[in-house]
Amino acid sequence: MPFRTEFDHTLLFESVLAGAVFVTVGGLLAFALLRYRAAGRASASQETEHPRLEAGFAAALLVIALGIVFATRGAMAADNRVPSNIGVTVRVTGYQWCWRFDYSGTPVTVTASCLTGHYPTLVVPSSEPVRIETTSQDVIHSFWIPAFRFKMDAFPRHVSSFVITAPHPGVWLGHCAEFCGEDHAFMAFHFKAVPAAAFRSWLTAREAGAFGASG
Amino acid sequence: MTTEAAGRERWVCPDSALRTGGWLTTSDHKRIAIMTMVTALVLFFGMGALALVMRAQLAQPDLHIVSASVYNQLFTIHGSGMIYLVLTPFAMAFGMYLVPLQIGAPAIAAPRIAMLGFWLYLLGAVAILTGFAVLGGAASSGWTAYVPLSDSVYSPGHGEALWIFGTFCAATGMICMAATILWTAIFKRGPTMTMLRLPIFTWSMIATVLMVLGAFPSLLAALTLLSIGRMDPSVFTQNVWNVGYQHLFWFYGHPVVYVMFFPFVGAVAEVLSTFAGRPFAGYKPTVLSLLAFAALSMSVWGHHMFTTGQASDGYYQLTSTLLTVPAGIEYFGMLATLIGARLRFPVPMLFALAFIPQFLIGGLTGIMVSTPALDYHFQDSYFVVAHFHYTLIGGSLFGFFAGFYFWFPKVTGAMLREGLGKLHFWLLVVGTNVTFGPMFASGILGMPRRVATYYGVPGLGTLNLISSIGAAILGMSMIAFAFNVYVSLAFRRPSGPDPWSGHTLEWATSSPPPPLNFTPEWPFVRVTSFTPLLDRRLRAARAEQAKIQAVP
Amino acid sequence: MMERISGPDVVAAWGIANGALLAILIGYGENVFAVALYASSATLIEVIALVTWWVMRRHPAWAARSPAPTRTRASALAAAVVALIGVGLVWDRWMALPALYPLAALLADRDGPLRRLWRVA
Repeated sequence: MPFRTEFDHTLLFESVLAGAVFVTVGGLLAFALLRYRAAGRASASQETEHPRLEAGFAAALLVIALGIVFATRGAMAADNRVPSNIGVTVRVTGYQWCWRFDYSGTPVTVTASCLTGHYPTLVVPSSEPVRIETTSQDVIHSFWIPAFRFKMDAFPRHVSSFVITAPHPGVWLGHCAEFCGEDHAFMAFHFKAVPAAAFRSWLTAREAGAFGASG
Repeated sequence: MTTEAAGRERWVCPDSALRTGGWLTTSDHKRIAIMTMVTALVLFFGMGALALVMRAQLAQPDLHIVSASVYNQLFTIHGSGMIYLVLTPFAMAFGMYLVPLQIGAPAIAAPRIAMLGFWLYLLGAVAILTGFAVLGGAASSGWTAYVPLSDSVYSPGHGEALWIFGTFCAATGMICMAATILWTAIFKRGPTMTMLRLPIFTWSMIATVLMVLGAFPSLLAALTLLSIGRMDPSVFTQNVWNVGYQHLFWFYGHPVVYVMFFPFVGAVAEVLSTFAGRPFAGYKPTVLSLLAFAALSMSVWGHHMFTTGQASDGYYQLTSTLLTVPAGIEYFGMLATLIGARLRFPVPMLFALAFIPQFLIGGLTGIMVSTPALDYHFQDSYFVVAHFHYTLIGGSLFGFFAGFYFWFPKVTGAMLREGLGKLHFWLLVVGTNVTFGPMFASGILGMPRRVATYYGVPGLGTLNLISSIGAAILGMSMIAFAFNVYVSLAFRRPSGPDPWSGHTLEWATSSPPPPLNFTPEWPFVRVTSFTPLLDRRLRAARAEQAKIQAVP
Repeated sequence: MMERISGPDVVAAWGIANGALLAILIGYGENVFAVALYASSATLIEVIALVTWWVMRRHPAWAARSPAPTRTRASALAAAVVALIGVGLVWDRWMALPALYPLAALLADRDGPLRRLWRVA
């Protein structure tokens, strides 16, 4: 759920680490290239084995690798944690080539026609955990909201779910991330968060509309 | 001396003029390797041209140089081609040519199987490319061909069927070649060539072919599942087979990344140590780390499936991150070889040196994409495209060119031009970073991969334009390379048997080597370590020294 | 001891390393499909190790024999059979029928594997 903060912290941590490694290797490489050119040297050292140093280095690498796994495990757990106060559940169905959003427990369904440039809008209450269930009607799609730094694949005949909380009202662009055929490039959607009260009245109005349409 | 002579009789065929057949029915591992290499090089240029069309389409938002349907064929065939038909065959061609020479064997084991491997590879290439000529076009469901998208309901047409058949043949061909290389390394080593005197390149090939034998059958199983599903689409109405296909595919699909990488790490190690004038530092740790690397790489496939929500993310993150240990040991070896060396800088050395920082970018971003909390965003975005192009170009291709420039004189007897080589090198360095560097940013901004066009997000247009300009530079670098090969073969500058003061046995024989590699005229050298020729030079230098001291 | 290590030892050790990683995978509770896949691969590697180990012990001279066959016409014929079967698989079954010609040639080939087996027997 706190995808973006977890992503930012993890990326910062790993970028600093990667940067340090890159600078170290680059520095050693530059040192060797400047210091050990053939022009200034009669012969090369023939020494090849440094068993102690190598063993210590391998142990240090192991500690670093396990450290990365340990340090980022919390982020993965936080992303997958399910809070108890979920109010709204939306079933997201991908199909070639657009999306359908079904609000559980209501007859409300939202869809549009992506290929004509009309992207469907997934409306959710802001500051409230919302469960998103992804599935597909045909091939595999993937529900991705880049601004939230999270995606979940949508498999046919299988439902995956995750919980997302919009921090504040706003509209974000989402996109299908799994290649799904000819018009994959046009399979976008809007993710719109509105204040809780506004969401309830929107849902009620749509519900009435849905009943009106069916009745 | 007598044991050496007696040993030689055992493995050098007395009839050194023995025929090895014409090119098309040859049993000579060198010719099989050359045919594989030439085929793969031709395809390499073709697949690169496809990428240039893709980069033209993506240079700006909302361009329609080709239709979405054609674009999808282009990226499918570019990816499939580069992986199944170019880089894996490059790897096998290197091994096929060099392993028998490096271990002092006169021939490859089971040459008919090796040659069958070449034919199947060629057949696979023809089949996959024939897709462009049939109604409906070539396969267009990505090099991964995920189901159910690639089944007969969503991908009707012969292009997809040809792709399945072609990929099956090409992969089987690679298994054939890998098996003969492993058998050769195990059983056909020269008499003083123990396992722990094998050159680093040969060890990297052993690790490579073990991965081929352990992982490629899984691709055959995936393709078989896909074929069954195309005959009976109801198979893929079950989630277990949809996810199962991904397991089968990635169980092959991750190790193949290392199959396309290890031989070139081996090549880089040979080039670095040769032009450092000393044996590669830390032989045993490097050999162990290559094997550990290969074993770990078999266990990481699930990191391609984090976003399916149907894999054990924790395990795959653990094994993927542990890859830093063997990779770090190899980097240690490379840097330790350079420090204290006497460095020369011909073109192969430039590629080998550039490999170190270029691949490092691919490797370090690899840790990022194997961290689930980051991969939930990066998966299927341009960040991943940038990452794997840094591994496959920054790593594999730089290593490949290091090896290509290094062994070209051995294979042809002619030197490649230094000036054109340097032009090729610098254009490749600039092109790689200008093309793929911005893609990290495109991915973070939210550009999905495999899109025929894009729109909406500010900044994407500029980043993509830079990438497309970089691709043009990459294209120019390849033209410089092709021109270099042409000029060097048309106007030959003879190389002699050992132009670089090499360390390993292939430099003891003529360039190009005789049909059975070692003859009484070009004898095998006694092997005392993994750098027999360097040892011989040092022995000679010591003898010289002793002679000078003996004369007062 | 390290100095006396043989090729089959390396293959076997590599398979065992995979087995160890597989054991950890099982510990993580991964699904049966993935476990079975990895187990079959590790088993395949051990089978290769056993075969090469057995050959090394029983038939070292045969394994190292050189030169091997001097011509590889049989390979081209076998590939032609595969190509025609492929045409049949992709388009229509009957189109694979011409595969019988290269197949017959392969069986009759003087340097072919079948004739060699026949001669040995």
